[in-house]
Amino acid sequence: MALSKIQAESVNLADNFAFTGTVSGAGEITASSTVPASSSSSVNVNLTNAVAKTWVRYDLRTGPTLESSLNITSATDDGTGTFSFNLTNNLSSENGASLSGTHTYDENPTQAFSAGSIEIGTESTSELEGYVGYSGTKYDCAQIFGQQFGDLA
Amino acid sequence: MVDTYIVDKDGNSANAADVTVPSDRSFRGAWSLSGNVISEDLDSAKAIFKDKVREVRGPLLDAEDVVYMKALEADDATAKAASVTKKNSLRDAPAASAIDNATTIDELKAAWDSDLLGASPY
Repeated sequence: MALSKIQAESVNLADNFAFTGTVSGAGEITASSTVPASSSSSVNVNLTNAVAKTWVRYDLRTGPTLESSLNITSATDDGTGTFSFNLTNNLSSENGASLSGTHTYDENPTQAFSAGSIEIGTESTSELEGYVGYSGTKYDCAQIFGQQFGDLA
Repeated sequence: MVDTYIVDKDGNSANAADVTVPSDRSFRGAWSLSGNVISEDLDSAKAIFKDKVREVRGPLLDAEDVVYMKALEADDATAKAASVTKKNSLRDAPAASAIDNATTIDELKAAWDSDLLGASPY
């Protein structure tokens, strides 16, 4: 039914509506659904592959604490500059891509952290592991951010 | 809330929500779990402190090499002697008695020789 028809029949389209049904048919999102890579591109990317399966915001100044996350069961402070995250739902393989970043605040004032490194990777299909370091030495930083892409098992 | 665990220097693990944790992470590698308290093992902290001294003195020794070479080129005996004294002090810095004699973490932090090594990281 056209939306203009619904509006004409006294349904205010500016109202909020709670949707309780199931999308099926042509509009259903499936594992093979794609979205355009950009508004001007004819290239489509797989929607499932393009979504991060795990992300974390981990703070060493407050606990340590996992401030927010997706698909994480627990975090572990393994030592200076080292940490790991257990996944709620396992990855299908260890070959996905991990993205990471840090916020240093005033930690390690003797270090030019811009020359440092951070790595988060798949220790196994059920665990991400990472470190923050500089010139072979591991250092703490204030916050760590990470994302994991790849298929879930 | 997702649980966060802390692993101490000996591999013991505890839920961060259930234990008292040191107020700063300067000597994270010296953390030792006993009951529901994590404290800093002083001997391990001294080893970490000495490693930090070695890390900081590295570029200072490199810089002093330049000072010495300039003094050598100028055949300046006084400058050479001063540079040798400075380099020996930097080499001896990890063995400072103030480090070994520290009986608390605060005393250990205070053992940092700012005149020789620059601003304290603690």
